[in-house]
This record gives sequence, structure tokens and C-alpha cells, in this order.
Amino acid sequence: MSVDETGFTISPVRRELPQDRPPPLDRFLEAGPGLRLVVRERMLNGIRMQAGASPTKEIGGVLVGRHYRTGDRYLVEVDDYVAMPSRDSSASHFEFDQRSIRAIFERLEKRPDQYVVGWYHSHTFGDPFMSDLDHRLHQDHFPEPWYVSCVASIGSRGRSAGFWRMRGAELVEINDYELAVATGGDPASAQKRYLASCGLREQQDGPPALAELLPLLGMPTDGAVARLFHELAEDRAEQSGLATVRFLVRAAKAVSADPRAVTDLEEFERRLARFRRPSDVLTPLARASGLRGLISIGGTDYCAYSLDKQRLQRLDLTSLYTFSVRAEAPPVCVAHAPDGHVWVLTGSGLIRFPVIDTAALRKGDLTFEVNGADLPDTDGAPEQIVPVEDGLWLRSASTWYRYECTAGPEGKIVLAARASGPLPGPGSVFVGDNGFGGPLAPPVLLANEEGTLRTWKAVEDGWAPSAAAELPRPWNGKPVVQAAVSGLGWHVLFDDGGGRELCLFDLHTLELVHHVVCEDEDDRITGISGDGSGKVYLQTEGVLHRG
Amino acid sequence: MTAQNPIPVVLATTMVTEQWDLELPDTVLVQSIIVKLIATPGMPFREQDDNGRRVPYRLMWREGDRFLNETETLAGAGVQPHDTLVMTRQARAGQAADAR
Repeated sequence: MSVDETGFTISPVRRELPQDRPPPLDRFLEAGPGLRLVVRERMLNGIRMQAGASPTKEIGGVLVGRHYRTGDRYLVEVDDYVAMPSRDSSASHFEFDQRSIRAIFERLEKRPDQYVVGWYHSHTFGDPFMSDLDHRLHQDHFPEPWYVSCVASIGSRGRSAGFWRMRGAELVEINDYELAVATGGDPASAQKRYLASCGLREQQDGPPALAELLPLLGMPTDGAVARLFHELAEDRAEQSGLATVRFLVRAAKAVSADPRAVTDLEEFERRLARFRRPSDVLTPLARASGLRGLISIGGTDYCAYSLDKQRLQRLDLTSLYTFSVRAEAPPVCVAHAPDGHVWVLTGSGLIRFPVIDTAALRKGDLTFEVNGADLPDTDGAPEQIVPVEDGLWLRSASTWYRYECTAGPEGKIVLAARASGPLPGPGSVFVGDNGFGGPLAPPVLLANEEGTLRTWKAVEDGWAPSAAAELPRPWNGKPVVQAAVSGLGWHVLFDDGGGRELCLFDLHTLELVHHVVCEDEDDRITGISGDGSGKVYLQTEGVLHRG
Repeated sequence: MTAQNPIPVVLATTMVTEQWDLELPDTVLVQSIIVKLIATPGMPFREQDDNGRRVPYRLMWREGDRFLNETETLAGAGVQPHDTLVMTRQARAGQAADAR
């Protein structure tokens, strides 16, 4: 027989657990005001590796250790973690599977002096932070001021980790934590373990890499200096300080024996002054796994097309809400209009997606209307579009077109041709105005015309030359793939055959300001876009950066 | 306790941060036990969250490695003296809700 009633009383007796009587601080290490956090290296590396092994789904678990307390000062030691599987997780959320509580009990029974001191989870985008959802979970389940929350983000280089705790009703970030490295380990080994847990490799800088840099820098590969570098590259054993001295002596001898080497070195010096690594000029913002090539940014709306999955993905860079739609046909170009609409040019037509209602997206009831337009007759296949407030610019390999857009029946967009003509330079690409001239401003045309970088501005009956500058090697023979303009200048992606190389040219003179040398395949820049407000964003393999 | 047979159990919170020894009636429906636990002073369980939404709890039976149904009793489920029950509630983290 069962009884469905509440007419009974219970008298729970709270168990005294080790966390109820933390040892005072002064018996161990003194802490300053607030909380001092000590994290075991093995634990943090483990979380990073677990997060890295799951780039498309968040992971999580609890942190185990102990704490010390004197008044309102705390020392928290995080010694270990218990990974908790989840049956409900995605790139943007993680739900603790309540069945896996067993794992916590088992861990605590192994070391009765330790207990749960907090929790952790991963983020697949951006830098670590505590979202509203994370904040609520922490408040609900870890209300004591010494409970800590760890967020490991694989969306940032190095899989950086952040820690938070409650201070009164406020969630505060713990700005510093100490890493307890296992005794017996040397710093070099610890660094290797750290890099491995972050999925990074050790930097392989040194003389041999110089030879590989020569073509990237546009330096002659058969001069006296180049020959010296190549000799060195063949001798991989020469990595010591003594080898460096030997190299310098041989370099000096080579220069004295061949005066042309001095010219080479001077040119090399000039080129190196403009050399930048990707990490010097790119700030990673978000991980966008599997996305490449076609990107467009409008305000905070990031739009990318996944070539392998044929999906158009949109990500709000403020809230990090994402959604994706399947493209009917592979897009050729994706571009934002000044009003936030996203235009997609495919081989068979034009599609216009509306501005995303983020509030509706948050609630999960987003619906939207997609407008289409028939592809107009053009001289050659359309390759690029630039939407402006009152219409659309389009170009093929040889011709430019200007259309006015009006609403047609059944949500269709009607394109009315207003002007067209041959492109002023072969291989010209449109560069959207990026907010400098307002929503009606026409794009600029930019091209590498037989070794000269040229821009043209739209005038009433076509295009007028604007600026020109001779392109240095090695870009003088390479076509422009994409370009964007910012307050810093013209960001131009050249197709170098094996990937894409980025250069920045002066806004007015088109002189080379710097070029980015991508030695690592993962750093290759695959897409570039202005955001309509003067900023430029770039995409490398699976990562979005601010330029 | 009134007429029901009391059974001593250990109760824990979702993340095993607190534990209690208590006796629960073994012939009362689990849903009534949950209501009683929420209403018992000094325990950290709440009927509503800060936004006024009902907080759903479930009782996880550790030894049985399953959730107890709201319409069963501890005796019916086979809960033994000194078994551990976990008062669980949703713990969801993340950057945002998924849009599908």
C-alpha cells in the first residue's frame, strides 16, 4: 500500500563533512584578502585535453580538493577533477548527467579528506567567461564563497582557463591562480606538457627556417645569402649557440667574398621590418570549426559558409548564439548589406536572409522569411556581390553591374539593371566601403594589374583610377582573392598557390605596410571581411580573428 | 514520523556538497517525499527559482543506479536502510541555448 500524503515529519541531521571544518590558514600558507587559488598542473592540463578532445561539444565535471579558511580569507587547493559525461551537450551548452553522480561518490570515497570544491566546463568559442547560464548554475549548486568555477576555452589559443567564485551576491573572476607543478619535473618538461594539453607545438625557430622564409619574403632564392641559408637548412644538427656563431662567421665571410650579398642583406632587412607573424596582427575571437572561405561580418553578425557541410552558419558575436541553414546550392559569395540583411550569391540565383532577431533566437522560436532573386543575364558567371542600401553591385570576371532592388510578388526581389561596363583592370575585385562613406557608398575596385596594385573609384559613367603602387615580390605576380578596407589601410589576400597571403597596404599610397607570413598551415588566412563600421575580420582554419 | 515505516537513508545534494542522515517513510510516494524535503526548514531545496519558476527535483537512488519514479515508494523500489539518495536538480551550463 502506498500513501500519497505529506502528513509526516522528517528530522534530517546534517553530516559533518571535512569542508565544514577547514583548517585555519595560518597553519599553512598566508593568503591576502579574498581567496588564494592553487591549481594542480595535472588537473588543469587534464581539463584542457578533455576540452580539446571535444571541439564541437562542451564538456564538464566537478573539481576536487580542499580549502583552508581564516575569517573571510580562503585558500582553495584544486587537486583533481571528475569528468561527468553528458547526454545533453552541444557547442554552446553542457548539462550534467545526474546519473553520473556515482562517479563523484567513488572519487570522494578514495580520498575522504578531499571534497568537491567547485566545477568546470568548456567553451567552444572565444575566451573563457561565465555566461548567465553558468552564473545561475554556480549560484544554485555552489553558493559558498570558496567554491570555484573553471571555464576552459578551446576557442582561444592555448586553451586558456579562467576561474570564478561568488563574493556575496556577486560572481567575481579570480584574477590570479598558482599552478602547482609535480615535484621532480623540470620546467622544460612542464612547458612541454602544457603545450601538449593545449594542442600546441613547440616553436621551431632557428636558422634552418630562414631558408623556408626566403620565398615567402619575396627574397631571391639563388643569391649568396640564400645559398648560405640553404646550406644551413640541410644541416639540421646545427642548433646550438656554437652553431649560431659559426653561422655568423660564415655569413660575414660570404658577404666579404660577394658584394651582391650586401644588397641581398639590405633587402632582407627591409623585408623583415615589414614581416609580421599571424599572432602579431590577429586577435582570435571565436572558434568556428569546419568553416572556411566565404565569410561576411555585419555589425556583430558573423556569417560563414561551411564548404564541407553545405551549411550557412550565423553567429552573433555578442551573445554567441548560432544557427545554421542548409544552402540549396553552393554559394559563390556571401555579403552583408548595410541594413543587416545577408545576401548569398549561388550559381543559380540570389538569396537574401533577414536580420536575425536575437531575442527570438534565445527563446528558440526563430522564424524568418527568405527572399530570392533570379540571377540576371551577365557576361560570364557572377563572382561577387556588394549590397548597398538602394541596390546591389555585381561583377563577373570581366564586367561590373549595378542593380536597383525592388520588392516583387510573393516575396521575390526584382533586380533592375541601372549600369554596367567592362572592369577597368583584369582580376579586379570589389572592396565594400565598410562604413566609411555611408550605406549608399559604392564599393571600390582593386586589382593586381601586371605587378601594380591599383584602385578605382566609382564615378557617374564607370570607374576612375584612384591610386596605384608597384607591388613588391612575391605578390607582383599573384592574383588578388579578397580584400577589405579599414582605418589601417587595404587588407589584401593574395592567392600564392599553396594558400593565401595577407598584406596591408597604405590607405592613400598603396605602399606595403606589412605582410603576414604564415609558416603554419593552420594560420593560413582563408577569408576576410569588413564589418560595416571600419573594422576588419579574418578567418583562419576554424578560427575567426579581428584584424 | 507518523504511521509509516521509517527507513534510515543518507541524502545528498546534486553535486554531493552536503549530506544528511534522516529517516523517510517507505510507504509514501516519492513525490510526497520530495515535497516534504523542499518544505523542511534548514535544507537547501527550493520550490521556485529567483524568476518564480518551479524547480523540478528528482530523487536518484545511488545503490539502485536509477532515478526513483514519483509514483513509487521506497519500499516498492527496494531501497534498503542506509542507502544513499541524491536530491537532483538540473545543472545546465553553457554559452547559450542552441537554436535548431
